[in-house]
Amino acid sequence: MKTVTADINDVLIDCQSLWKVFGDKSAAAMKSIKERGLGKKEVLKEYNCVVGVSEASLQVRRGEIFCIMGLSGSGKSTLIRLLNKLITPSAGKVLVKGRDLAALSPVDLRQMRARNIGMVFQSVALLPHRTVLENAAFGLEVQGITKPERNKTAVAALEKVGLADWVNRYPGELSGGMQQRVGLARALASDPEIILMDEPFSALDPLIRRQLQDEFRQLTKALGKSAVFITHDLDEAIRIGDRIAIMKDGVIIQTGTAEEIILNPADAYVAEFVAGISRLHLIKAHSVMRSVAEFQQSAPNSDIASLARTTPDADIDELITLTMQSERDAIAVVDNGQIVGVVTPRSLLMGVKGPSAHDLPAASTNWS
Amino acid sequence: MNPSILQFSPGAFLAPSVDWLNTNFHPLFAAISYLVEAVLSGFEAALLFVPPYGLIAIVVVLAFVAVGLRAAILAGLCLGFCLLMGLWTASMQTLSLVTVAVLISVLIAFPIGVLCSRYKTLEAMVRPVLDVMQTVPPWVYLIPAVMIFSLGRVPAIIATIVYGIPPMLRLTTLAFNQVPKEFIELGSAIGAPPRSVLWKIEIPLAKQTLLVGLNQCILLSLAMVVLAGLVGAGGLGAEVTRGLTRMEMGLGLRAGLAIVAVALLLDRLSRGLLDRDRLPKAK
Amino acid sequence: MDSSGFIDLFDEWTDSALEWVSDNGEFLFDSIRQVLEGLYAGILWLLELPPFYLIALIVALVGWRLVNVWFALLSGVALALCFSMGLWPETMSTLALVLTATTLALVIGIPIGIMAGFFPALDRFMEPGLDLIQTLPPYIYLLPAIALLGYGPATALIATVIVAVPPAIRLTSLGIRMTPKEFIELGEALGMTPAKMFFKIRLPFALPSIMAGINQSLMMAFGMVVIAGIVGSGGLGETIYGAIRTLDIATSINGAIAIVVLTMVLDRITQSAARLGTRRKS
Repeated sequence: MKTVTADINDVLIDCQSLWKVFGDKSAAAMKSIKERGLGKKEVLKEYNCVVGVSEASLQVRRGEIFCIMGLSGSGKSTLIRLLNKLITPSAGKVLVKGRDLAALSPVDLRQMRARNIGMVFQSVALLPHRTVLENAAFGLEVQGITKPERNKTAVAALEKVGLADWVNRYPGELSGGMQQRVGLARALASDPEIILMDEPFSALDPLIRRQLQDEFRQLTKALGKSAVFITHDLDEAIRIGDRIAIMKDGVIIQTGTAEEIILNPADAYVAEFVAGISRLHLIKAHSVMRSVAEFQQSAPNSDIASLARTTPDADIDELITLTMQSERDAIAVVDNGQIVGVVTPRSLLMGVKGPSAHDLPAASTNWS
Repeated sequence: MNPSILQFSPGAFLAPSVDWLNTNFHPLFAAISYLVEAVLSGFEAALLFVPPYGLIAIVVVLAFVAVGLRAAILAGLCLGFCLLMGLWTASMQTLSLVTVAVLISVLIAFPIGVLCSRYKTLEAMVRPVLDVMQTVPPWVYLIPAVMIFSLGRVPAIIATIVYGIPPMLRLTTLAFNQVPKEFIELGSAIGAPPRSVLWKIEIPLAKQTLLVGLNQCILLSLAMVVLAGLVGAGGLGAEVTRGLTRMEMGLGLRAGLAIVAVALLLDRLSRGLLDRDRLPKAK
Repeated sequence: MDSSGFIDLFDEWTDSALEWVSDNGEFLFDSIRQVLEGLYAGILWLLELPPFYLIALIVALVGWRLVNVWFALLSGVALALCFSMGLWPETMSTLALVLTATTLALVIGIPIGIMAGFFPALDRFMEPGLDLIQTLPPYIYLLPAIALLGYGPATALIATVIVAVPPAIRLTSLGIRMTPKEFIELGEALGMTPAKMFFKIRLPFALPSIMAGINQSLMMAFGMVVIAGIVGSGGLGETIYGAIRTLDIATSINGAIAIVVLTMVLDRITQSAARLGTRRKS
């Protein structure tokens, strides 16, 4: 998976301590949470309100695909809708391109949604009585763009998703995967900087899902867009995302790259999730290498300079191959001409296996 | 048999208030009467101005374009039948009453229906009123109408309009409530202004149910208009009444059959629009 | 095309056809009329027997049992109101008419509905006919009735029965068809005879629908009341019709109140009976 480096300094979406409480008495409940630090159960009992999202903070950078992963009820659907204010937060701020969503007038908010933030839905929501072309052009139509122009843009978008031949068909004639591509084309047609994707591939069968995941990632990166992608499938998140946030019960438990999460799961809950993930391609040399000093201590007679070499980005799979090919017992990791570390078979095995369960803190229970 | 202690006649009690209404609001009622008569007469004149064959031809063509071949043929047959029965004028009178009434009913019921689907409190308030309105038999609407506007076409059309509102309103609310939530969300997410959401998303998706409401409104209005023949509304209803009261069976039968023809015409045309709207099938 | 000639011909033909039918079918129509008027008279006699407060009380009790105490009170008072407006005889007359008509409609409609439920072909065959009956303005059903039976309660009854039959057939048929497949399979697996199956499985499931059909039939019948008043059915229908024609505001309001009261009381009672049937089942 090639990664175009995201620009750390250009933050497109900035969420600060977002809360969402559902229920008639949500305002009062929110106040109590702030003042008395109530937990989810107490809020339910006292105010008959449900806490959907609690204290969520995240940042999405330009050019980055950010995945939010969680099971049903984790609050991920709520969180993504807070990002374009389809749901209004009970507390906290959402800044898109530096502008506070709460401060926008209705007209400005609509403009923001029309031009800067695109959205793709799980159910696609293609208007059944309009052709594929008209559906793809729909976002442009509500912006008031003239027909010839918007059709041109829509056709270009449909070409990008590979559906240029289907422009005059109706949604009912398309398969699920194709419908989802039209949804994507619709979002792309307005050329937004950010695309929000709400479990778009969940309803499709596994092979199509794989294909669309890859296509989506390639397309997004090629166009230089940022995306926030929610899913309940960790495999999908790892496949698509640059960074992943794991949610449970409305709380973001851990944020980081796939590698970071796998190497350092924040608690047993996360660890259990990542237990099934194959680490062969995710863990890199720089995470499993020993320092040169350490190696020299354990094997004083070894000639480091003559070891087989590799880069810090080499994954475990490569390292295993190298180790088996080499006659020596270690591989040197070289960065910028300098030897920065050594990978021994033992450290390699540790990398493959991962930390054991009782090294970790228990799953966070502050919200039970 | 009727101990005078218990004697209580709400009617006698209320009658003076109706009289009061009649005297004090007379200008208002007269204005409404005038307006309604003007619209109706205009419509009727238009329908009768065109020679019967011409009008039939126009309707057939319109039916063909809007619905289909079968509907067009049926339209031609029904109208031709009315002509054959020697009841062309009466049929046109009835049709103009129904058309004007339905138009106004829809104009009133549609916006309220949409508002009811958006605001649940409004719906809760309106629902019991609609329940009562639909339990009450149609002729009940004629009573106050006649009391205020005397006999003639005006009470007929006012009663018809009021009678036609509940089905249209209910089905409009239902239609909009049935639009899947994800499409509303889509409208918000792409930054569509509320008017766009209404016209481009909600109405097209609600169309099927809306047309059912229209169909119901039309048929109920026809029933009411025919009934109103009793109170001097003219049209086919008056002909049936004449046939019944004078035991002129031929006339009565002709008028009855003409009513059947008109009912079929209106029903098939409005249902035809419904079927036409069905989506292109998936392969 | 000379339509006026045709029209005159049509009228003549109609008149002579009718004469022929009423002459030759005189025996048939007379007996029909007698049966209908007999039924009506019988029910009317029953209703006129007790004094008004007794009937009001009975209705209130039924209302209490099926709905709630407020409804019972209201309906009792409302019926007493009919009396105090001096319209009791007419109210009973209308009630007799409606009850007779509905009962007849049910006696005809429910068996047909049951058969239609079992034989979809029959159902499909009747569908357009029922559609037609329900589409046409009810007013016109008076025509054939008057032609054959003249003025009087019999005519009103026939027209009302025609209008009240379709809902009974439709909803009964629907009810029969609505038995979930699993229960039919259960019955067959237990080796039930068709009769047992009908009474123990299908009927309970069909009951809510049938009750709704009874309610609808009743409401259709009430809708015909004033229309029936034109043909001399007596009762509130005639009262109101006369009052409208003479612009007698007071009487028309009274009559309207009486019918509306009667309609709503019976409507609520039958609806509650239907719901009660459903609840007991689940």
